[in-house]
Amino acid sequence: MEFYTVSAIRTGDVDLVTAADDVFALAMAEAGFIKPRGPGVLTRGWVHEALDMGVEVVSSSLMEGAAERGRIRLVHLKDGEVAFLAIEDMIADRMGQYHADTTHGDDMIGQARAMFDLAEDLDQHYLTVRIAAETHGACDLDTLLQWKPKLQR
Amino acid sequence: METKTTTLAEQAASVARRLKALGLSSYPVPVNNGTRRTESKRALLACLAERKEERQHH
Repeated sequence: MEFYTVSAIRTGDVDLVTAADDVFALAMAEAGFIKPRGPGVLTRGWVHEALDMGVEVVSSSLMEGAAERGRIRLVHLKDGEVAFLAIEDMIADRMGQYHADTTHGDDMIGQARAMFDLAEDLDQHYLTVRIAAETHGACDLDTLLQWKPKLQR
Repeated sequence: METKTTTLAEQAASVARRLKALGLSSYPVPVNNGTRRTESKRALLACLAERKEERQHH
């Protein structure tokens, strides 16, 4: 989300998908991340003290197989590449969370709308299909377009 | 489908073009209150906050 909005919306940590747990654990340890342990501490996440950064493995498959792998956005960095979930899937994910629990207010749909507004090259057909899937048909593109953003105070 | 590739600079330029098209200098940021966070994520962020506080005290 931070990538797609160029930090207009800040995130507290990085969510990551991998099925290669052992290889990933080795790579994280090599990069200086540690796995918090202790009573009451869940262990899906990694932290890096110097970078003040957290990483959490949220799944072993991309949105439980619902997202099209071919739509992944590959970002070239100075010393490697990062594969991001397609923006349409990111928006649909937030719409799904908005639909699942509207008692949390406009947080999720607000993030979805920000990504939508700031995107130049959305596939609106795929987005429509994915929003319907993630909200079990309860929401569509109009739900997103009719929502009015509120300024942060 | 061919995988889309980009760079951080290209993404920044793309967002800048969208902001201009919308007539905005910056995007009105929606509230990010973290309410969707799972127990696991809350624990991870709490751990980060604790470690940051410890570093500041030392």
